[in-house]
Amino acid sequence: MNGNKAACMILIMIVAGIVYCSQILAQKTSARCLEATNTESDCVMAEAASKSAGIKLENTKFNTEDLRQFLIKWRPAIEHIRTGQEAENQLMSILRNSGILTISQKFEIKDNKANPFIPKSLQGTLVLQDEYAKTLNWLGELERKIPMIRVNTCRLKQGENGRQINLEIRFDIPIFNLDAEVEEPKKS
Amino acid sequence: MQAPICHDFKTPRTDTPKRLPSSFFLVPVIFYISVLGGIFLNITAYVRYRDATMKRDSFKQQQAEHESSKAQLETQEKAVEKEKMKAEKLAQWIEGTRTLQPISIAIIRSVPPEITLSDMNFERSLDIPAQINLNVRINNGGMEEVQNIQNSLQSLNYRPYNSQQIKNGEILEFKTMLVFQQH
Repeated sequence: MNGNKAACMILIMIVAGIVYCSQILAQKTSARCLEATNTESDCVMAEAASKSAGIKLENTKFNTEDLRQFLIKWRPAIEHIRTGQEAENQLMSILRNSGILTISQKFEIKDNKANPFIPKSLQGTLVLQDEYAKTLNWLGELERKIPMIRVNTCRLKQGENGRQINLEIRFDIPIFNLDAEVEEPKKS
Repeated sequence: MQAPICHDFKTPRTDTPKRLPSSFFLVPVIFYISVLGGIFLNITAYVRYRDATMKRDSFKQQQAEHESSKAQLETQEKAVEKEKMKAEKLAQWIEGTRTLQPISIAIIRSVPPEITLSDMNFERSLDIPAQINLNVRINNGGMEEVQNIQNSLQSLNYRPYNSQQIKNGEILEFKTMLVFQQH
């Protein structure tokens, strides 16, 4: 091979190298352009999903507004009684302040492991006997001051004399745990 | 006339290579064109590559922001759902705590003074605590008193179901199940 041929070969190799590099760069560029296009469509989809999540949140907020307001209204009453001891103290305070005659009383704190929202409750039985008006006013005061009390049984009967009535109640004061993880009931 | 003799004293050189074919003059032209074209193409490709990279990064950033915003909204929605479930559980409980005192007073007031009630029992249903089983024993009472009691219960938005009256001597026993009517 003479010098001219060698020079030609070198030039041709340089040309081939330039073409090869250009091709590689062009491939990379088109791949990057495709990637950018895909990312753009992903971005548009993510934006749509975000907007959809926003709409869903607004709908959920709107649909649950009444219930959530209900919870907010009841929160102070619930937070007022956080332990069984507090419930018992509150009940005893209502009894003491009324000056009503208590025949018998029995309280017990029950655990409720199945319901994390109401993990404990104060259950009890009270038998009172006093004047008709005083006794019924006391019952009203109890239900007003401890609004979440559930009077399961209430028995009213005549007292020892005509002016008196005998009241026997069995009640349940729940101790709510608002921080509990509440699970959605399973649909059968 | 004889032509002058012109001698070529240079002998042909044998150490020089043969001329390349004439088409090979295109090689340097192609070289220059390819160098210029390559520079142009590579510059434009590089600019496009850089723009595409910037676009991709920008879209990726936007996508990450949208995804983060979506995750936040979903977290908020979950919190709202949890609040709702708690409120439902609370409402379920509160539904079974309707006060009994107004009912007892309404019943007592509905009967005239000459009629006495010897016994009045309220018992909540175990399965549905909002339903209250009422049992009233009326001394010397009749259907009129029962009707008055039912009217007084209806005025408190309670509807009596499965009402029964059992007469036992002078005592009329009135049994019913009270269900609160929502308006």
